[in-house]
Amino acid sequence: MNCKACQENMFDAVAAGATTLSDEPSAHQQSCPACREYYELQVDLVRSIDSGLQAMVNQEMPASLLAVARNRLTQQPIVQPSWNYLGTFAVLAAVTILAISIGYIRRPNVYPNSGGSASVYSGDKGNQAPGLQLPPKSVIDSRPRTGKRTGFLSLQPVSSEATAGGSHQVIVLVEEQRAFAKFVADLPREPKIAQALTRPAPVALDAPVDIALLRIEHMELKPLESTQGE
Amino acid sequence: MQELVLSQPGKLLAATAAGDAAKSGALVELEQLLTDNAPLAYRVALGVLRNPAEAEDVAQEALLRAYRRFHFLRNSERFRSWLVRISFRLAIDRLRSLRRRIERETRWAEPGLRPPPQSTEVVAASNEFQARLARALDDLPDGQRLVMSLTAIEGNSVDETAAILGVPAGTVKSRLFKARKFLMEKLR
Repeated sequence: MNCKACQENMFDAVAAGATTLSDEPSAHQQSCPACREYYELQVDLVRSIDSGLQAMVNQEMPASLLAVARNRLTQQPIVQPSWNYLGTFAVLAAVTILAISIGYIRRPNVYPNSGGSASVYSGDKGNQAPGLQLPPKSVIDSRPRTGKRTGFLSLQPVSSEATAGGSHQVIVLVEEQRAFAKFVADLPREPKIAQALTRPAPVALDAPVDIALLRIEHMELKPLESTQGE
Repeated sequence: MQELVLSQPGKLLAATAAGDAAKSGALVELEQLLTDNAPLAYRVALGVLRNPAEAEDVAQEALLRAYRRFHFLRNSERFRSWLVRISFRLAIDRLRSLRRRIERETRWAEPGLRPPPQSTEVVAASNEFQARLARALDDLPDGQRLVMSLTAIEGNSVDETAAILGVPAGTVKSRLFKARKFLMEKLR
């Protein structure tokens, strides 16, 4: 064993708190004065560290510590454990989540005012325009679904009797129906636009509306005026 | 040893009159635990701060915190370990706060107002070693530092330190070994 390996071994042994060295380093340091001196230095150093640390921490606790702690404690009352707090918190959290969920479900439906939507269908297959594919038994809304419940969507399947009788069916949201009726009612004043309609605006809101396939050469998108339900 | 009567007498009497013996018993037990372990909390803080006044303040805070949060401690047998950790953590926080304050004040202080540096002749050899040791301790990781302090306090053995901290004895040995190596290299 050379001096370097021996000193590393001794250093680790002293740091680990070993009181004796293993055989090889012990034999080496007995025959090597430098290593023996190194070992004694390391032992002294650890003793100094331990005694210095003990002198640092092992001081008497001041007598005032407990008295001051007592005074401070009487000024600050103890907080007793109360599981009622947890229960109250749980109930409040549940109510809050429920309220948020209800508000989310019942929030007003806001659809983008996209020109590509068509929620009005004709059930008359005989007059169906070429290229216009209609659902055979039920009428569905062709707007893209967002997966959110709307709460007031009045989408209803067309009854088989109504379809069989050849009568026209209009399936449309109440708000859109009103807006569309207003739009149609205003059309006579806009002759250029009125050319696209098959007939003027219906008198009653519930009256069926014929929709033919439109050829749109120019389109200007404008937001609908708000209705009462919006 | 000095008695620590932390609960208000009226409160204790009322609790007893109401038949709530368990509650008052727990309070008495807690007060006894605090009284018995107050010196340990103080010495742990002193090992970090090396300033008796600061250590006393931190130990008081640790006792109050332990008293207020005793109901969070599920096993009262771990109280000693819990209080040591509270005291150590508070002391570390206080030390960092003090260092920041000193740095701030040193940065802004007028050079003429600063105290003259002590010459090496003035500083005794032992004091110099203590100062070097203190600086080296400050550079130790928290876990190793706590183990070093606890083994130094009242000569706690490895097993006693492990019991106080609630960690295996091997962990204490390993931390001690690393801490000693670090200090020896710093102080050689």
